[in-house]
Parts: sequence; C-alpha cells; structure tokens
Amino acid sequence: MKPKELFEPDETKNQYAYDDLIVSIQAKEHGLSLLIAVCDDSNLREQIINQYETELQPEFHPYRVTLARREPSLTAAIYQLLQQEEYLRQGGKAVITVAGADQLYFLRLGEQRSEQEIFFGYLQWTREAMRQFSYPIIIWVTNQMLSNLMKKAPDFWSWRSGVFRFESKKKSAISSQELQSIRPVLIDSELSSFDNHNPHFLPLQDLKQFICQKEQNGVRDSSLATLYFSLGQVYDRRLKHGEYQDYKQEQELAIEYFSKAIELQEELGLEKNLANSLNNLAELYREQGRYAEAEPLYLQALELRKRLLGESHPDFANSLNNLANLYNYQGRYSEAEPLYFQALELRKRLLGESHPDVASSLNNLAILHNYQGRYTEAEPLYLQALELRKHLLGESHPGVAQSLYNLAGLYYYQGRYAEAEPLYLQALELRQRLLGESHPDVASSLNNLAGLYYYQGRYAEAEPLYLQALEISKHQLGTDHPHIAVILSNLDLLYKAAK
Amino acid sequence: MSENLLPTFQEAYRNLELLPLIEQKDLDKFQVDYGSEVIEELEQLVEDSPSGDGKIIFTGHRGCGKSTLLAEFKRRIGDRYFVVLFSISDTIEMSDINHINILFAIAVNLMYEAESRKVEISKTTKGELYKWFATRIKTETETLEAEVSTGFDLLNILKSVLKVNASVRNEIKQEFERKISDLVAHINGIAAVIQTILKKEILVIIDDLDKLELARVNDIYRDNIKALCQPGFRIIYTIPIAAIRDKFIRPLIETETNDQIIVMPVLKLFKKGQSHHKSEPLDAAKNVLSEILRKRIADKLIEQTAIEQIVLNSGGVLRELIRIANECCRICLRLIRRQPGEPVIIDEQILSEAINNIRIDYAVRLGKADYEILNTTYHNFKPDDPKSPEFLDLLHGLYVLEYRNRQVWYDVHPIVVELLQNEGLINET
Repeated sequence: MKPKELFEPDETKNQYAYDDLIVSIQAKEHGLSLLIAVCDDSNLREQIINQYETELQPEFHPYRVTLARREPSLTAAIYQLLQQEEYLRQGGKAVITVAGADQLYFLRLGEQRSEQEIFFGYLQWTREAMRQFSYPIIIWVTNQMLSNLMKKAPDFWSWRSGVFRFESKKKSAISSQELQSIRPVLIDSELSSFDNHNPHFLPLQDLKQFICQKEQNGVRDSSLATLYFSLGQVYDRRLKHGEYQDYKQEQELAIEYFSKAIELQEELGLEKNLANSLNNLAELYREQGRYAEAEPLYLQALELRKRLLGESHPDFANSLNNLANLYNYQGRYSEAEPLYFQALELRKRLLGESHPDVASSLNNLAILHNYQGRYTEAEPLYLQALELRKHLLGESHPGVAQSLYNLAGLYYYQGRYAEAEPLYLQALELRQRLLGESHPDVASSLNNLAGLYYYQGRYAEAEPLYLQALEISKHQLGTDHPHIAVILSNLDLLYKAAK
Repeated sequence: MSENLLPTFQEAYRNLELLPLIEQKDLDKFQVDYGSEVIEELEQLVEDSPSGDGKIIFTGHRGCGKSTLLAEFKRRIGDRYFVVLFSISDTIEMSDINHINILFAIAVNLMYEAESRKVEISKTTKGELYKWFATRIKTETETLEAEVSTGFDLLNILKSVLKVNASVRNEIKQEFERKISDLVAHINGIAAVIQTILKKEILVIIDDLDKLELARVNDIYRDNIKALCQPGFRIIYTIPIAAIRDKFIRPLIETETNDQIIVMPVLKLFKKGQSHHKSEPLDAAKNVLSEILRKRIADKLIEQTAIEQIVLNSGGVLRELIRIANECCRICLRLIRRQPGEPVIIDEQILSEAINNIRIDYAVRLGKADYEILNTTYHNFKPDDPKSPEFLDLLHGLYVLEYRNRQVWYDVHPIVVELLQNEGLINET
C-alpha cells in the first residue's frame, strides 16, 4: 500500500485539530499546558503522536509516559520522568505525551473505586503539584472518558488549555442502546444510572473483563449466556460497520464468544437463544470461507427455529436464506434455489413487500441466477432490490453498496463493461467510506473492478487494484482464505496477458 | 499585508493564561481592579472577629478568580497578621481528606511557615513541638533524634509522607478521631507560641477545599463542622459553591461560623432578566472584563466588537473569558500556519468558531434530565429545586451561574443557551 498523508483532504476537522495542537505547543514555549487529545482509534492515535513528535523536533524533545494501572497518577508519572531525564530537569523544551489512560477500566469490577475514578481523583488534585512541570503535556483519552472526566475532575477540566478531537470510524466503546439487552445484568452490578442515549457508554475491554470475572465466579447461568451472546454481537456489529480496530482479531473474538454462548445455552437448554447463536456463528464461519463447518450449524439453527417458532416466522425465513447463501457460495445452486424461493415468499407474506429483508432475498436470488448464467432473469431482480434498498435504507448504506456491486457483477458477466464500471466505482467509494479502507468488502470491490479493466485491456489500471485487494485480504482474512487464491490467479492472468 | 503577526498572536496566546496570577510579574502586567469589595469584606470579617478566632467560609464559582484574590488578600494583610495560606492539595491526598487530617495539616503548615520565616522559637519549645510531629510518623522515628535545626527537613518529610502514605494518615485519623480536643490543643499550642513571639495574631487560609467532590464535602462539613471551627484562631475555609446551597450544610455552616460566609461573585453583566433580550450590559462589569482582555491581547489583533462579544459570552466568569479569547488566538495561529502572510484578526467569524468549539465540550455530558433543568432555570431564573443534586452538579460545572442582588438568582451560561436552542427548548432571537 502506498503511504498516505496523515489526513485526507476532506478530513478537515482532524486536520484542524492537529494544527491546533501544534500551534498551541509552539506558541506557549514554556510553562505548563494541559492538552487533552481525544481519540478512540489506537492506530490513528499512534500515527498522530509520531507525526507531531517528528514535526516538533528538534526544538521540542519528545517524551512519552504511560500511566501505571495500579496507580494511575499523572503527577507521579511525570515526576518519575523528570527524575530520569536530566534534560528536563535543566528546563529544556519538551513535549510530553501521556498514554495508557484508554486502558483504564470504567467499571469498578469489585473494587471500591474503578481505575478511571482513581485516575480522575488524582487529576482533580493536580494543579498545585503540576505547576512545577513547565511543559506541554498531552493526555490521550477516549470519548467515553471525556464526559466522565468533566464530571469527576471538574477543576482539572477547568485548567485545560485545549481539547483536540480526532474523529475516526473506529470505536472503542459500546453505546448504551446496544447494551439494552444486557442492562438487567449490568444494573445489578454497579451501573445504577444507565443513560439511554450515550454513544460511548461502556468501553469494550470493560465488558470483556466483566465477563471474565463472572467466569471466575464459576456461576454458569443464563445471564452469562446473554453476556456471551451480546459481546459476540458487539464484535459482529463492529465488523459490519467498519468500527473495528483489527478485523481478524475481532472476527475471532466474535467466534469465540458465540461459541461460548452456544456451549452454555446447550447446557442450560436455552433453545431459542441457542438458535440465534448457532446462526451467528455459522455466518462468521461462512465469511471466513469455512463452509463445511458452517453447514451443520445452519441446519441445526433451522431445525430449532422450525420446532420452536414454526415455519411462519421471520427467523425461520432468515435461516432458510442463510443456508441458501452458503450453498450459493459452494456452488450448490440447485440446493440453494428452492430455499431462496421459500424465504422470499415467507418474507413477503410476513413482512410486506417493502422490507429490507425482502430486498435481500431478491438480491440473493438474483445472485443465484447470475451464477447459474440466467442473466436475463437476474437483472430485474437486482434492479428491484437496489431500488428497494435505496428507498428503505438511504443512498449511503452498505446494503446499497452491495446491490450496486452485484448489479455491476451481472453486467460484467454479460460483457457490458461500460455499464458495469460506474457501478463498481460507486460501490467501491461507498464501501471505503462506510466500512473503512481495509474492509474485506472493499477488497472484493477492488478485485472485481480490476477484473473489469483486465477484460477491457486496461492492464496498467488493473494491476494496482489487484495488489491493493491482495494486501487487504492478506491482512484481514489471512493467507488461507479462498479470496486470496482468487486474487492471485487473477494477477497471474493479468501478468500473462500483459506480456 | 505581510506584517508578521505570528509572534504577536503567540504572545497574546501566552498572556491568555488560565492559571491564577500568583507571581508578582504577572500581577504587574495583568492585574485589574477586580474583587476589591470582596477583599474588603474579608478584611472586615477578619478584623472584627471578637475573640480573635472567627471562622470564615469563602466560596465562588470555579474560575472567578478566588485563588488570585486570596493571594492578593494575603499580601494586603500580611503585615498585620501572621498569615498561613496553603492549598490542601499540597498536603493531603484528595481521596483521603477528612476533618482530622485537615486539622493536622493546619498544624504542619503553621509550623512550616514559622520555620520558613525564621520565627525565633526557643530550642526547647521547638524540640517539644517537633517531637509531637515526629511521633506521628512512627516509621521515620530515626529522625526523631535529629536536632531541631533540621526541623524544616522533618516538616518536609512529614508533608510528603502525609501526601503519599495512606497508613500514616490512617494512624493519625485513628489516634485523634476520639480526641479531637487533643489535636486542637496542640494546634493552639503552636499558634500561641508564634503569636507570643511575633505579637501578631494568626490567620490560616486553606485554599482548594472547594475542589472536593460534593460527596466528600458533605462528610467533612456536614458531619464535622464543629471540629473544624475549634482552633482558637482565625481560619478561612474554602468550599464549593454548590455546597453553600445544600439544604443540610448551609444551616450548619451559618450556625457554626455565625453566618460569616463570603461568596465571590461572578461579574454581573446584566440585571436579572435582561440577558435574554438584546439589552445593553451593565457598564461596570463590562469594563472590568474588557480591561482584563485588553491587558493581555494587543488591540490590532482583535476587533472591538469581538471584545464585547467575548465579554458577553463569558457570563461574567473570569476563566471562561480568558478561555474564549485563548481559543480565538489558537484559531488565528492555525490560520497563520496554513496561510502565512495573510492578514488575520479576531473577528465575528473566528469568535463564532471558538465559541462553537467550547460549546461542543459543554454538550458532551448533558443528558435529557439536565436539559430540562436548564430549560426551567432559563425561563424562571431558578430551577424547580435549587437543592437537587442534579442542579447542584450543573452549578458546580458552570452550566448555571449564580448571581446576586438582594436575593440569589440563576442564569444559564450564555454559551450553553444555544444548546437549549438547538434542542428546541427556547427561542431567543
């Protein structure tokens, strides 16, 4: 991947925040400055820190301190740094970056005060002690921490020289809305005031740790099962919305938690929830290309739902649809087709003609026909799905991107390259924007667009796209994913043709 | 216009410092006649104390200039009294503040001040006093046998031990919990020694007690106000402004201190009710705040109308005034960075951006219930329940400001008002 500028031209807010930070440090020169930088994305944070440390040299020597978890005292950390650095004791110009605050737990987890509370407590008492430190001190926090900092350390907050917000799609906290389903479990513990509209309510690591502690207590009950399932869902959602920090790792975590949910739900006989967990796990396996492992799970979920909910239930339709998707991927078209039809009929009947799930079914059926070579039957279904999705989900939605991508695929198969290209470009742009530059769906879009250029003889334009797709896929999906093989063979063809 | 504005704006940015003016050189550059009535009030109460042991409660909104004022006050009466002004945050770990270690801190700081000003206490007396201190930190008993000339060292050790060593603090607490009078007797003893030698009366001022969270304040002031009022000399205690409005604490304090409560006011820019319409602000307040700005930022960097707008948007709170101006400078510096050589001046547009940035910070922690309280306060100049913890939190956080005529009234911080507008709760033209 070619190295990029720290910020894209349209990321003005972040650029301004960065500029603000630099000019603040340069203007002050000496004396204490408490600068609060806010960012949920640890990768972005690293990049920014490296950038400003480089830019501010040689005038300002860069230093980093990390808060000690047991004793998250800002003063103590800086004081310790001073002891070690002669240059600082001599009063040389420096910029000090404080890391580690984002690791502190928000929940008490059985302690009298949470790590964040202790941190804020120390901060609140900061001014007099900090006066001796005549440096710009940049403290990195998350959005979740910011509102709590204001409340718990109002005097420190009052002394702030500036707040610098760096936005990113990546999130490090879960919104209170997402946690509605496990609210009863959390309420029992310590979150008595559960603000319903907080987008940065609970840090992800806190939920993990909370679950970990429950596991250590040894009580295997339904609330633990609910927690497992919820955390699996959280990770799943992050992957789908581009909020993940590390795709592969979080995909594995989603799998881990759904698996744990399944185990416990089987133990406790929580069959309805079990069906959901099985379904979600199967979906993840499918995305990883583990088709053989996915199938039994889909079948089991389908059976359960049929038995518990009956055949006239949207969840049953979903199971049919998902199983059909699997067969589709495996090329088992004749097995997929009846399932798709059954799902479509059910959905139309139960949800009405104007429903996103109906759009999905239409789209899936179209894909099937596409692969079966029944292009003329596929096109109207694609168009119908696309219109419906635009109408129901808005123009900027991953579902719309998918429809565009699929329709482009149809034209591509039919050799209608000139009609395919704009659709592929549109889908690519949407996906990059909505899911992040390194999402696997972006890789797919790049690959297919490259394929298009290949067929048009536009080899020079195709190559970089293939390479980018390969890079992303290797990174996010791992080298044994089927998509890698596909891209490699495409490249092979390209190089042969280009000779 | 190729004049290099960079250094001028950088200087303004540095001048617009949020920390209190303590250094003489800063005072010389930036001091403005502000708060003199408060100083006079304080002086009055201190002088008039009938038995020389009056206790005074001092409070005011965060950022209205209390610490600067206390430092100034100390300078003014320092020739007539032996003033010990210290910040509680220097002596004790915040999480562990209670009435006992506050009293103990008074003892330590009295002694410390006496040492640093070389008050000529006799060797034997000093020895006695230091022995008492040293036994409080039993783990350091080696220093017990040290000569009195290193009393200063002992005090320094004691101070840092108090700050970091929870078990020492615990021991002190356990020892004196049931015999406060013992502790007070020792404190009075130290005070008596100093007063006799210097022939001056003692005044202790404890700053930053207003930084405590309200829950802690309750424990200390509500349950232990009597103990804090026991020492036999004048003490000024700081307290968060929200605590003064607390229905439990207020009457207790009034009784114990004989109603000696001084509230440092936020500057009143408008008469009650006038701020919501396009009326002219009160001259006195406006002029003081404008002058504060003018001393820190050169005229050519800022339009006249911008100065006025900054003043109005400050709500009369000093630190917020400085913050807005500081933010404006930062924006200008950013513009200069991106377009060097282009003319830059703080105008309405830049001011608007600055205020917007600050407003975003205010919005972060507001929930639905908060908006309702703010709405009521805006319309009625007081909330439904001025003693509710939610309201006091908003007061504590500067979302609501307290003003006074004969009565106390409240208004929503000007910058927060637009948040209410955005929520559709009010319609201000």
